[in-house]
Amino acid sequence: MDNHFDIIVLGTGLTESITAAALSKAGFKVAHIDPNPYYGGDEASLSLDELVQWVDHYKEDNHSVTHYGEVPPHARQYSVSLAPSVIPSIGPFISSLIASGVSRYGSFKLLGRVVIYDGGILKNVPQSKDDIFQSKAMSLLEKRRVTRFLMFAAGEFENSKELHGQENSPLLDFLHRIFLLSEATARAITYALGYCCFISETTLPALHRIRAYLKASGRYGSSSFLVGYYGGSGEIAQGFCRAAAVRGGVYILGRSVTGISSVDPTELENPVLTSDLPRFAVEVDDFPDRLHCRCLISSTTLLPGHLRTLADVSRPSISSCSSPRPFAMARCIAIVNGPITLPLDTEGSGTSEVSDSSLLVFPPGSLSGGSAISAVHVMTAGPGTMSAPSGKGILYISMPLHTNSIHSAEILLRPYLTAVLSLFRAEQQQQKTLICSTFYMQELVSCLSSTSDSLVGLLAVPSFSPHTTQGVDEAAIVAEAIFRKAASCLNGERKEINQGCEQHVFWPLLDEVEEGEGNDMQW
Amino acid sequence: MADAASGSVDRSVQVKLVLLGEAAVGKSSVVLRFVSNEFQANKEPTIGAAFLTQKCRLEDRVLRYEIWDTAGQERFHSLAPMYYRNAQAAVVVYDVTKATSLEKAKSWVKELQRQANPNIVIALAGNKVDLVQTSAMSSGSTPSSESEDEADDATATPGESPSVSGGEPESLRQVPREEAQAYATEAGLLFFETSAKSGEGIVEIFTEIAKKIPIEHILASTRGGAGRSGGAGGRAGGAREDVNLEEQQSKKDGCNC
Repeated sequence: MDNHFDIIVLGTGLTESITAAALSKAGFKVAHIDPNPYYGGDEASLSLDELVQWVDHYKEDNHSVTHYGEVPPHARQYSVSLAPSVIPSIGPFISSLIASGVSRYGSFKLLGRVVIYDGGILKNVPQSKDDIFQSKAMSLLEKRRVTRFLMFAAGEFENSKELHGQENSPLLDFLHRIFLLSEATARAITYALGYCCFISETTLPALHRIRAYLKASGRYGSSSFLVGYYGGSGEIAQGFCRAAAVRGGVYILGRSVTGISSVDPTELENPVLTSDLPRFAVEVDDFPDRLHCRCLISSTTLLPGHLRTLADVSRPSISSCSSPRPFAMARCIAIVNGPITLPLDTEGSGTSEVSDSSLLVFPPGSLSGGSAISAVHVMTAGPGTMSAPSGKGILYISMPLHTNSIHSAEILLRPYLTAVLSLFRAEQQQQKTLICSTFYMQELVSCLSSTSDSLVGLLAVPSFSPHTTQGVDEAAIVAEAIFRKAASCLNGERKEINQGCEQHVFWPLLDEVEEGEGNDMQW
Repeated sequence: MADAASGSVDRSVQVKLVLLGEAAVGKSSVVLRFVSNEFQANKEPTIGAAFLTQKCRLEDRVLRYEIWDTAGQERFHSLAPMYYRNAQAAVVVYDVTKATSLEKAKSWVKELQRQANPNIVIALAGNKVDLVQTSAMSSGSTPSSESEDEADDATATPGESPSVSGGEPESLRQVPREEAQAYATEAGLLFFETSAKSGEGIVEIFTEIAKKIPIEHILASTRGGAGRSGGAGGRAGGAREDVNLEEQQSKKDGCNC
């Protein structure tokens, strides 16, 4: 067995998986290891029996997690996401999906309705200008003002007089004062178009997001977002891993890493000879020999403490449109009986196609007993994305937290679960029974800023961004940054041998036909 | 693009077929024989190919197999569920000279029956049958076993080295045909003994699968809406509103059907 690799990647979260695929496609020899028996790390898509195992395992580490109810039959027909998200139709992530060819491995559909909880009822959020014109809920004047704002937000607003001096004021306030929008409209724009997580979010980054999502709408249909089948991110991570494997990447799952050590490069004298020598040795359970690599990329959570401070961390940086990074996410996964299409508001948008993938936004302060500062997202999934067997639905509830919460995820989210279930009951007149539910707190490891004395070739991957609409794009951006660092670290060495090294392209052009094709066979 | 699925090519049906089985049983070689009608000793079969495609005409219907190889991910038990999702057919391969490989094949069958599309057509293939035939088939100077193992090793990974050593043909057989046949019948699988080296039984697997595929069912689930022109073909059910991400990208389509 050849134990020498260019790169070892630890963790199969989305970011790590995209990185592994890109490096493998660039011709590097990659080994990809995950101690879990499943792909996806903290963003995995799990069957219900796997979820229960995950809960048990999570408990051991003293995390706050609670689980209620029996696992229903056909547990393996569920694909439940630990970190559900949607995919903007335009953005770095979807570009990576297409450019890598991974989009062919998965299936996607448009996100159905986006709905906002306002004054105790659900309201459709218009997803396009046409929707606004058709809306009967808004006065003509309000429509004109909304249209004016959308024109502004879709354009080059950076140097506009409207924005001048307002960049850092809260978006809600900005919408009131500058565009004279009603409170309800301003809330809808802030939380269900700009997807602000917190009440205090400032105008400029939110405007960047709104512009991006306005552009994204129309690429594949009226919604700006897509959802992936089989639980989304976790499934897509598997696709990137397959792309890496197809290019020769070695996959080792379900084996823990028992030791990582750096091989001291100062012991080596001749720089020409050193170029291909390993810098790190990784011990894997059940493997007789250590695996060696020249570059080690690890999700921060899998990196032993003594190495965390020595790693080079790539931070996500979506140019100026980042939402403040939460400290943690309180999450709930609930499995319910009955179809999971969101109840229509009184307006009844009329359009026929009813998707079981939808997004319901609770603005801060909208629910008594709920959070006054965080927006809470409820995503639904069901048989429409092959995420649950027919007749069953999944509710994902998530609340970003500013700081460490003294409350458990359950205390924070229970009121929302109750509210959603009663909305279903009231408006659909059908029994919606809860089969089982899990509440958990997903802590996000904030990385120490990289110091100058970081170890060469040791790259840490920060926790996945939990933002519902922005997370996957950040994953792609971080993956590209790590890819470049790793490639230049590995090529830098080769440069000593043969000067002049070409810059690596993140995704080289796909071969015209990547699959081989035989002749027609006739029988 | 949507029309391509239901329009001009009309009866062409895309079928996702996955290969499963223990490492080094000759999965890649079976496909290579089927797709290119060749057997290469030292090829690197899997690397670089997302999937192989092969059209089959069967009476009035045309099937387009999209054949997925494991890309070596089975080696450390790391095959992703994504791999066999939506597969309409599977070929589970074992090595007739290695009893444990049949056990592994059985566990894959179980996994497919639990996890995969309920209408999936599964074929069990006992490969390397050339090794246990006394005839002139094994006339070559080197035992073919080694060449096949090498071929598969290239697919994968470090780790286990090929264990089969050349030797007297008959005694090499570790899985009696009757035993595997009985298991296949009981589990509702198609069954063949094959040799990727000689070609024996290979085409038969794919033809018999083609006959058994519920084509009308697949057509019904893909035709309605956009269908999927890329990727994994007809979904088991309700594929109507699938979005093809490449659709608005460019006009060149990699694998339109």
